[in-house]
Amino acid sequence: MTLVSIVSGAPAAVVALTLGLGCAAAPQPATGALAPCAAEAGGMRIALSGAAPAGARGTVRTAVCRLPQAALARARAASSAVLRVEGVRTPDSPVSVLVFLNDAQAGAAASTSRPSFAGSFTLLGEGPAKVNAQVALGPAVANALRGRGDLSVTLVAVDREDRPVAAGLAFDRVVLDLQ
Amino acid sequence: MSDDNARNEAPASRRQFLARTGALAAGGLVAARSAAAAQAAPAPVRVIPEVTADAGGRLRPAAAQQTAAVTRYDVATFTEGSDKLTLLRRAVQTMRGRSDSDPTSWMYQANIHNTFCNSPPPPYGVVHYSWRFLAWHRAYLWFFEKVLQDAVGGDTRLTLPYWNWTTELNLPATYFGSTNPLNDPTRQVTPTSKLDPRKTAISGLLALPTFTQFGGNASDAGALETGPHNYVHGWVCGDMCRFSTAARDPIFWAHHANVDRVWYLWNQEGRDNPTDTAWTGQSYPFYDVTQKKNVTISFGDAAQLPVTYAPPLGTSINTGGRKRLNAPVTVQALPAGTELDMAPASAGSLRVVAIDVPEDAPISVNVFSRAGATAQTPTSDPSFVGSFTLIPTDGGHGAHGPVNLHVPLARLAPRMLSAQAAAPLNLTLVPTPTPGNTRIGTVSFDHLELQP
Repeated sequence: MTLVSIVSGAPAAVVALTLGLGCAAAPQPATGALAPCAAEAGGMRIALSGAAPAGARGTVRTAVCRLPQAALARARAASSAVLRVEGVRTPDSPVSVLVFLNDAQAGAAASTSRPSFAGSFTLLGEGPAKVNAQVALGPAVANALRGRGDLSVTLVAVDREDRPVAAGLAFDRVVLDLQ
Repeated sequence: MSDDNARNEAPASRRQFLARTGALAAGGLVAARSAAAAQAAPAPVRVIPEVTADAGGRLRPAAAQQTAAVTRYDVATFTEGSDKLTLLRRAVQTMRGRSDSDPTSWMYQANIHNTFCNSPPPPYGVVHYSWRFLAWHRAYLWFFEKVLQDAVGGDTRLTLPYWNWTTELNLPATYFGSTNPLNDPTRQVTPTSKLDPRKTAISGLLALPTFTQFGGNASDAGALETGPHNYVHGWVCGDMCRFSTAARDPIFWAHHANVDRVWYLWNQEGRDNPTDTAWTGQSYPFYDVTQKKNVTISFGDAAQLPVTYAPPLGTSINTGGRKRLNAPVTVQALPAGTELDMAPASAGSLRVVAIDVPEDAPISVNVFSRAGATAQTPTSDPSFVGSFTLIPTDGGHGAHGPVNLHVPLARLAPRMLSAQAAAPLNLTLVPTPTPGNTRIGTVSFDHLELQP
């Protein structure tokens, strides 16, 4: 499994944060300069960033980090990647979260037609206070890693008509599972 | 009873259900099994009359199970005027006319969902956002389907339709209409509203190797639940937007039949359900109309209920009317980001519908998965999918009417049929002469379909 943690989020949906690196429009560092993703469980889990504070909201982008070789090989061959979003707070009305991979431009206006779109999950306006959601990413992770060894995840919260949700959707952290 | 009244009476109906299942005791809620045991005729733990259990408690494919098997069909086959649709509407109408306290009424059945979706009484857990989701809903559909059949005199031709939202992006038109019992006026979609196919794709789900990823575990929701399942609920909205009211909308049942079908397909791929007794041993109560009493069923048994799903109808490709094959014809088979509803390991086919049998000369047609293919494009081209040949019949004009042909898509890369494909899938049909001939037969076809 590979583990991705989203450290921080923006209170508004229009700001895409790259952890500690500024907004999404900031140029990405060269792959070689990237910090390695923190691997766990023999490389099956990778933390793209450190521990996440509760309550990340809106459009959130993880830090870009370099996958260790073993995980990179695994990710490139994976056909069944899953993104697990932990501790999602149940909203008052349906909210979908769009998942984009390696797309610094994905933001509030992003749609599922972007090539970087990898999947989505939805929470209805009812249910337990906090849930752990999963998203099947199919071969999207492998596709996103063609010719590169770094990975970032951008989450965009939208309503049932795909409009950005100003209040966003609070959650604790994100785990990328490549098992 | 009006829908407004029905919605206002949810709490009372929930209480009624708990009382009937033995879960409501004086002063509070207790375990259903404990309360049931105190009754004169406690509900048995083994609840499925159509199947038998061996000494190990596992269902076995006995003759009884085979005769009790249920096959569910694509809601697209429930066409206006069909027996299936007539039966379905009559059953729902009958259930809607019953008192809310009647376990076979529409509201009572809907309130079972309400009972277990939010803060169910001990020892039951919430049936969403965990591995309870799939098994509980499979059992729920099973017992509801029996009530439906009972409402039309036990007619077992009526089974729940499934709404294949991977390719059928509109809420079925047969579920709209102010006097239609399948209608729900609270919906926030119209017959022309379309789902986003990138959010209803299932190829990624079917590739998931573990039940934890696909169907969840004790603490995590599976990707099927928080993916297409929740999305479709929220897209339809109205009653469907909230677990407590969702089952009041008749589309709920077709939606969940499709969710159950995806689980069925996932199992067909050779994936295993949990064997942990913490999952298989969980039991929930339902009203069994065949026994006229409340019963319980375990997840282990629910997972093995004899339900199968007929393949969905093919996806029709818009060819803009009948096409003559006197030159290459290119059609867009799948828009970018959409997928054919087929399991990754299976090979679908291209169905050429109502193509003429030529009268003047034979014809071979090569099919390529790109635009721009010509008669000079060799079959060694990577985009070559397959071919078919038609030869004239000896009987002359009118000797043979149009036929339907299938071109296997096995050579088409699976990813080209996947929602992950960034580009549309174009198919080009190229007419060519058969060996030894210079003439090409004159044919036309009605339309094309992609079939799983």
